[in-house]
Amino acid sequence: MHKLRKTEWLSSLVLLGSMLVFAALLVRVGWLQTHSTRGTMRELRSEHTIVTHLMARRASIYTSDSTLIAGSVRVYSFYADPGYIFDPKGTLNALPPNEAPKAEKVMARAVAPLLGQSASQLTAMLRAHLYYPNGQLRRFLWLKRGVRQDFYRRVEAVHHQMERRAVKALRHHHPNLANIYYHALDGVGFKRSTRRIYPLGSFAGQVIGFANSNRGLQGLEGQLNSLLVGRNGRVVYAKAATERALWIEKRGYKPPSNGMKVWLTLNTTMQGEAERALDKACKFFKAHSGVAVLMNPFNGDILAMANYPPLNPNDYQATPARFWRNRAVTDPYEPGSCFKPFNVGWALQHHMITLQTVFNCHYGRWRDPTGRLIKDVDGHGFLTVENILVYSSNIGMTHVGWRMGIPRLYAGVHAFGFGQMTGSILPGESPGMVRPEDRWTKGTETSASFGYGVGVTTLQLARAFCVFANGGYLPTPQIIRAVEVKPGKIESWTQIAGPQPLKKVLSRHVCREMIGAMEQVMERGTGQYCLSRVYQLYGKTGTANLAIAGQDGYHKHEYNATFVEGGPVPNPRLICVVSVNQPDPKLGHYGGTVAGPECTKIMVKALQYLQVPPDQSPATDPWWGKEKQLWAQSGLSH
Amino acid sequence: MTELHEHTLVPTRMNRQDGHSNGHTPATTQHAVPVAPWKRLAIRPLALSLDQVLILIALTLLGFGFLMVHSADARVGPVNFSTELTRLIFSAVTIHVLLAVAAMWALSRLNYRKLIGQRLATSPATILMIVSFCLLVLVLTHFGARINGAKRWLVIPLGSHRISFEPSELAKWGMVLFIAAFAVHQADQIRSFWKGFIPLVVATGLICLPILVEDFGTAVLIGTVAVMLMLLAGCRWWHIVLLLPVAAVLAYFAVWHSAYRRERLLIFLHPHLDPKGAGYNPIQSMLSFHSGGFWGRGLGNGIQKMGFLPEDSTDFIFSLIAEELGFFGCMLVISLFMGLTICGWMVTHRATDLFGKLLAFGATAIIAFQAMMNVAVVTVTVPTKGIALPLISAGGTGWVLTAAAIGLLMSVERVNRLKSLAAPCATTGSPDRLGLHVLSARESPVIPVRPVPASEQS
Repeated sequence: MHKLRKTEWLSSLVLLGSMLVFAALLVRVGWLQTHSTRGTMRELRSEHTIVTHLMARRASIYTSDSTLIAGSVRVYSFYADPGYIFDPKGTLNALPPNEAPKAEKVMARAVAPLLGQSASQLTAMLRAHLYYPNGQLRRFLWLKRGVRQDFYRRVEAVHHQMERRAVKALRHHHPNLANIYYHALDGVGFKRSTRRIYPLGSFAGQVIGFANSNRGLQGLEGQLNSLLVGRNGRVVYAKAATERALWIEKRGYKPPSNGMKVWLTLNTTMQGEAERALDKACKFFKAHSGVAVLMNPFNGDILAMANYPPLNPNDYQATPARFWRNRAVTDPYEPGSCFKPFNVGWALQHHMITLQTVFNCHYGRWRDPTGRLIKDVDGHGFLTVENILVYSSNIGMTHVGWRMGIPRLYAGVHAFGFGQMTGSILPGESPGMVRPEDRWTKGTETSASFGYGVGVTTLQLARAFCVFANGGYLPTPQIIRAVEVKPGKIESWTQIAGPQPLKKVLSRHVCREMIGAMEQVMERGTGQYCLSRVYQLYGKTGTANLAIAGQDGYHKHEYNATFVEGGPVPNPRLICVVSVNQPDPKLGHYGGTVAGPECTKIMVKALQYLQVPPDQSPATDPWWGKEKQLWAQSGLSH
Repeated sequence: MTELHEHTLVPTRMNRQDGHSNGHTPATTQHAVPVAPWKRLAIRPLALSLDQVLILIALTLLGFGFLMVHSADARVGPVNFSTELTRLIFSAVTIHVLLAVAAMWALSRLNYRKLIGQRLATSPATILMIVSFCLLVLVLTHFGARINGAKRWLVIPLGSHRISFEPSELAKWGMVLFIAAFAVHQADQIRSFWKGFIPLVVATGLICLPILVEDFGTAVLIGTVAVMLMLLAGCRWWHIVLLLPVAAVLAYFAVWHSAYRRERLLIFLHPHLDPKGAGYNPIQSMLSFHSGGFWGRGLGNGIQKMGFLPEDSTDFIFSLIAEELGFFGCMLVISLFMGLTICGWMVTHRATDLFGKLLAFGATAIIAFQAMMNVAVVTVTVPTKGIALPLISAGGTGWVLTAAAIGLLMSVERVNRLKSLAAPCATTGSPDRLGLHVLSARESPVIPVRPVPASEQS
């Protein structure tokens, strides 16, 4: 019994020890399970999962009438793995080392015709790129990039051919040969991606800009990138150690959400007309560049925004980078005489003058109170304010400006939106150049009254000109018409961005008076070469010497010819601005001759597109269309 | 009352019911043994005897092992369900489990005292030990099969099938049986150095040394349990202390002169130094724990078994359990082993003879230590060793022999219970007073207490 008692306490001791050890191990298990570092989890994730990204499609851009301007297409890029194909160490290729060269020959013979090469050329090319310059084995080499579906199909056909050959070889009891055919194309493959295409070519090139496969680089593509790209989805697979995907992990599937389609306010027809007309003017007058803007004055929609020289986003490298920007918003310039209606309108609004107020225009040469010499193109004596506009008299405008005084003049410039951002979301927009009020001098006052000393962009000019057409309101230019915020749910931009500010600048009465005065500009003044036979339009010319960059003074023979126009007269529907930069002075430089005629053409085409009833037509005018006939009949033509 | 030999299984219940043949009429008011209320609440409602608890635990562990081995083996992909089910049912694993259950049942019906034998030389225990020694030596020759770099298996080609057999598993139980039998046969000489201690050391050495060559873990396990059994059998403690320097030198040579063991030992604390070599197993095992987290990934959802975790159905099955079933799966397994250990200890405690005690202790200790070592290895608490989780890790030899050992444990319990029932509470040193009172209600609804006559008191 003594012995047995000894066994009892000893075994109890062992039991106690075992229980303690088991308990400690259980604690250890729990500790291991709950204390994983971030590093371990990352290691686990990378070891256990394959993540496949599902690419979201970059959304398309349309004009307001749903013509596709920018879209993405699926493209394939064809690559080779020279390291695998030649396999100098014999460790990569699935085939035994003595059969790998045969497979390589089969591959070259099958693939080379697709690349337009001979098999030996392809082999030589691959072998030349077998190593990187540092001696590392190259595992990736592009063979052909950005090919379309048809090329992909051809390579697929080659795959099928290899498969058939493999089956045939198996049937003829050549398992090794079958293996070679089966693995022949293992060293080449495709990567899928998208490419941005612009089916209309240079249509609104600077406005839309361009993008690479998924990132907007310039223009609206860049500005609206966050809307257009969407969000990539992903699939997370669990994988075995052999890299085989096992299953999709819990919460491992996130579908891609494609980008939001965007409809611009640009109208296909009007934009096309604007581009054609601007192109014609700029080419004829050998201009450096040019801009045309067509706006709806009531809601600020930009119906056309053309730039010269055009930019084809499909091949943007062909155009010099200085023409990539949208000059209608990025480049301010001195507007010259175009600026006069705003000053006159502001003075009328504040009862400083009436249109019949008479000023002495000193026959074209006059020194203002600071002693600065001001000249007109044509000398006139006493002119009413209306005639000051009609003949575009700088001296008359200086009188008007001096009558207003700096604060009021500045307030006018400010009220018409100059020196501020317009609120359009176009990228790279410049606020223009208007110096703050406390830095205005008498000289500035003189210059500003006839459109020098302030820098404005074409878009600002068009926007300010809308004021006369819509009864005195300053609209916010709009470029986006609608956005598809969710699949199938299209929201207009006003719904998304909220109501746009609309500032009252002039009274309706003043607008009506100003339209009448500017109609006279076209009837008998500087704009008489731009008169339309179809619609009664109103407008103002502007011819400004270009300032010398970086110093005082102006180029003597470099001009900016501008024409602002609205119409038809009783109830204006559209506003158009054409600005031609540096036309050849030998061919012409006045706004009324260089920019004006094409501006009218754009205007008439756009109004006709809008089915605005013409003011003059065969119905109203018995002499309509008869001139040519009469001229021919008169016998004076030869 | 007829004299009961201790080998005889007596249907006590009938004896007790028919007319009290022991000649004493029971008292009209029967006094129950004062058993603590919490013991009644805990055990009595289950109405399970100790051997029933044992078999339940063993079957649960086996079933769990069956499940997890199949989980480790599961395939992912387009599979035919009926084919897969057929594969599941008619697999070697199923046969192993059935064999294990059969062995457990058979040995639980055996009277363990038959293993003592008439003489030591012809005792079944001695024969078993000699056979396992021969097999161990045979494994080291070219008959042994090298699997995963270790030469531990005998492969017997049997027609189209190959039966592989791991002799070290047999040697464990042979060792335990031999020491127990030796202690019984040489009870009066066990305290002597030359006649009691040295033969045991030599026997242990003969078993451990061949194992030490290929399987350090098992050798250490057998050695430890053998030393404990020697102590229990009554060897002098300072004889045992003499062994320590020898064991230390042996361990030093075994570890330091085997490249992979040294590497494992050195890499143990910083497995990330060699993540693809010696550090691979510990890293992957730990990653399984992290991957499952506290709640586990769900049964069958483990990723680590897809080629990351080595030996996922054998040595590292515990990591798999941790990954798929989380903390509660691990807790279940460890609790079952704890339960098994407690039951084994109770059996040891209640056994009335030395052979039964040693046998029960040896079996319990081997299972418990092996489980502990495996869990410790898998949780990277000790350096990596190739040692299986008993009853759970796949392996026919292990399953069958461990189940057989549990069968022996049950046999010890049954025989001793029947003996105690034949003379209930006859002695003050009754196991009923010491251990938990685990008896089925069916067999003894209320244990009657009668005053022991002075004539019967020895």
